[in-house]
Amino acid sequence: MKILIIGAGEVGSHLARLLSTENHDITVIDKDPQRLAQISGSLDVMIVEGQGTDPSVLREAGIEHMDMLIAVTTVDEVNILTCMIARQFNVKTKIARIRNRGFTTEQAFLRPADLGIDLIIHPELEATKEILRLIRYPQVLEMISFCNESIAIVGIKVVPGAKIAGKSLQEIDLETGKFQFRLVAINRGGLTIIPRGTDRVEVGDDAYVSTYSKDFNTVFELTGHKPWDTHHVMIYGATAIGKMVAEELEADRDVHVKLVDGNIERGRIAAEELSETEVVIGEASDLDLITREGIVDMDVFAALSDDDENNIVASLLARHLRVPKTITLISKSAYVPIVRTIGLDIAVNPRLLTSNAILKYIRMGKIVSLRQMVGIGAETYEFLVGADSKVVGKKIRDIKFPQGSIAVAVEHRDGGTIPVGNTPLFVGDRVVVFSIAEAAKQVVKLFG
Amino acid sequence: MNLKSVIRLIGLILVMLGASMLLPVAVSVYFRENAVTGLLLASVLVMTSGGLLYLLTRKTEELSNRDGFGVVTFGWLCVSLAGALPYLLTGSIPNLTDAFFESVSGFTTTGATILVNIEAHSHGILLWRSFTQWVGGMGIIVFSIAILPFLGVGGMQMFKAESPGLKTDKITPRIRQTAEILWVIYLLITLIEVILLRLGGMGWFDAACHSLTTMSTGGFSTKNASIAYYQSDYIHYVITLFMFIAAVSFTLHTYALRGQVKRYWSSPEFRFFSILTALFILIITVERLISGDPLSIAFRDSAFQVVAIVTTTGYATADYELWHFSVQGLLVILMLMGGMAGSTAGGIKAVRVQILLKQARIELHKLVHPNTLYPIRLGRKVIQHDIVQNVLAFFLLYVLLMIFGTLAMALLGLDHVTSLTSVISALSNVGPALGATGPTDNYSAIPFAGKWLLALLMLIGRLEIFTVLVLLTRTYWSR
Repeated sequence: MKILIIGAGEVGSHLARLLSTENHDITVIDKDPQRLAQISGSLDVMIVEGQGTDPSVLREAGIEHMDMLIAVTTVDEVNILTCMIARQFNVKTKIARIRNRGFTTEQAFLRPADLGIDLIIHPELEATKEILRLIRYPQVLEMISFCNESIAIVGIKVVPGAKIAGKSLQEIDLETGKFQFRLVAINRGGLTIIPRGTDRVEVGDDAYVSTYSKDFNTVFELTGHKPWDTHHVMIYGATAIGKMVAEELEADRDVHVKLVDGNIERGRIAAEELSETEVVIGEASDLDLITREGIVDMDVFAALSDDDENNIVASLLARHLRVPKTITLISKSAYVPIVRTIGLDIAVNPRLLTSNAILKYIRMGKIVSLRQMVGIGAETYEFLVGADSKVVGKKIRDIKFPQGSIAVAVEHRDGGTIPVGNTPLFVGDRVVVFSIAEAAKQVVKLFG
Repeated sequence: MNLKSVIRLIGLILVMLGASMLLPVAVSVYFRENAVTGLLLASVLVMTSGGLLYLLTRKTEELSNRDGFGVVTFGWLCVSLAGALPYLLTGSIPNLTDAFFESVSGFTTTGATILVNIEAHSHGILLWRSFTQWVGGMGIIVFSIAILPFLGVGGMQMFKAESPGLKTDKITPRIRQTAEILWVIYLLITLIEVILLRLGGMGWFDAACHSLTTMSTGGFSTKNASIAYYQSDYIHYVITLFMFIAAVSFTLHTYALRGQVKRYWSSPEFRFFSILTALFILIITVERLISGDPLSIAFRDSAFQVVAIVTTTGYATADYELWHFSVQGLLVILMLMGGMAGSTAGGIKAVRVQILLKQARIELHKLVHPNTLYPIRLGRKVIQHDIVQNVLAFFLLYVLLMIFGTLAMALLGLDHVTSLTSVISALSNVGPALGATGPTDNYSAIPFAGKWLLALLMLIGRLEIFTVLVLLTRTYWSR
């Protein structure tokens, strides 16, 4: 596919890197020659210097032959305008990053479709969703959800007191009965195990379970976690993300949110916008202040300001004061790998989330999406069952799954299910397959 | 440097080179010449040694920025050595120095020859001479990138290290497509020239050889008298036109092929290059008229000779050493400049000269208005400061190489005109120079050490100085 990317920032260059290695022909437009030089030095892509809204620049980049346009500059209006121009050139798919939520709400005067945009990516919204998930389910190590988020694979630690500890899969199945608790993998001391009927679960294992989202609490219970124990959340940074997270959390009566920000003006606006949240003016690096505000009682501390370094320091401080869970917003992707090294739990990178969302959309061909589960070196694939597929009409038990792979979800027209042996596959179904890295190739061959 | 990957790639390049030697073999078979065995032996030898290098190094990592320079410089060296084999093994050039000189002069599209009686050589050898120029013109590496599918980013590093000019213009998202397009256009224009020359009464073989060396701005001829052998005005003008085309950026040709012919004139470098060429033709025509040539001859010869020199082709239709001394000086200036960036021509390149002139003027302006900012513009585009610095450094290195090269040649006992102009001619990949190496002479009388020095300068000049010289720095080799 021929893809034109406008904006060579973090998102743009990340996408260019990934897509060019996937055999797409990539052209990147940016007005900063230095950023372009960086890209052209390391990637096999074409670069064009200039404004993405300038027709002569777009022509130079060959827009009339493009299959897809991805506008990810920092300016909403430029992204929108570029998509509108691309429509004039009959570019099939147009994706824009838009920060302003005015375009995505129900009451918007202009809909994305009116502007010729097929997909709007909202980085702050993506980040907010991720952060909320992490706050709501602090026990979860990793989670990937499918079928409109009704089914998920959840990675969770088996802690002392867990009902399933010391039991084999067969015994667990007998006990849980109808409840769909399917153990797909275990990470025991860094080793990935694909468990069979007689394998036993031990305390300290990281269990990877496929389950319906509505049954999460049962999963927590079985693995020894309390179902829902987040009551006190402290957020640092009255940024767009910080406020969105607070707004979503305060809708839940059991959760008490404190929002800390050093800027009085920003704090005042946040206080006016948020009815239940307590807004505190001050820096999160001020030890006295956060102690006074009860940092030690917090279940979660989320550093969501727009300064990476401040976020890291604030989270480290919270960690030092033994807050059970810290979440750190990091914009520079270069910082993401060091997060674990310096002792922080979880980093959320809006730009990575943005490019992931775009990638997921682009790959909506036969292999819909492919996501890695970092903790166990496994991957999940989403396949579309085509008319010419080898698996059409077969039941799950009749399909020869390679060793180390398992179907975790099937999405029919009427919703998603966790498949059992006699679940049939029809044309148009989407199958989610979990596979360890070694079996991945065979899985793709089987379904692709 | 990632030695294994570099060797592996050079092995592959040698295999391709050896395979291409089958072309002169076939020609030799057709003409029933004795050179067949020698040529075939060379082909087999090059292919097996290349194949061995390839097989002995297992597949390794992607090429880095550094490896690009290594592959290109050592690749060119190996190719030049391998290219000397046909001369040695057929016995047409029996000693190594001369064979290597001829081979380097071929691949770098210089066109300086040590052959005294060209016409005495077999068709197979003559074709090989012309073919080396054609391959070297667009670039051995560019050719490999077009053929080998797996180079990717590493291919781009090599492309940058080989291609002439300031920046590498990619015309397509992928480097491989760009390389393919360049070669296809190159092949196409060459074929057109072959047909046009044939129509002018040149034999197929000579038409093919001359087209190969025109389009590469090389300048090897199959005749002792070079193009002067042909009396037809038509042939002179066709070759003049195609030399000019070859010295124009191939990126512009690509755009023209896509229907954007206007791009030629909107390129500031093209305007500068063509106006300057026209101006020099005018001046020299006037000089020839004053000296008593009739207009048709004066114009034809000066047009041919100016274009042959500025495009760094180096064909001869007239002995310009008989022209006024000031005119010879003008030709040396043209040798220094050369053609456009992104063409097959050598020299400093028109765009660099443009930037140098603009920078010089700005420094003068600054003396009067020290606080004013003067960005350098080419057309509407502003040239970034780091590029200007790069051009200044390039020019400095070029001049230094010229000075020390001249000194070395003088030490070998050559007169100063020959020393200076032969060095310039080698660095700019022109071919003929002045003095003992003028258009009617050849390089056979140059001392042994001088031949090696000139061959080295040709390689440095073809790879645009930086690519070779970076290998001499300690930074390159330290981790």
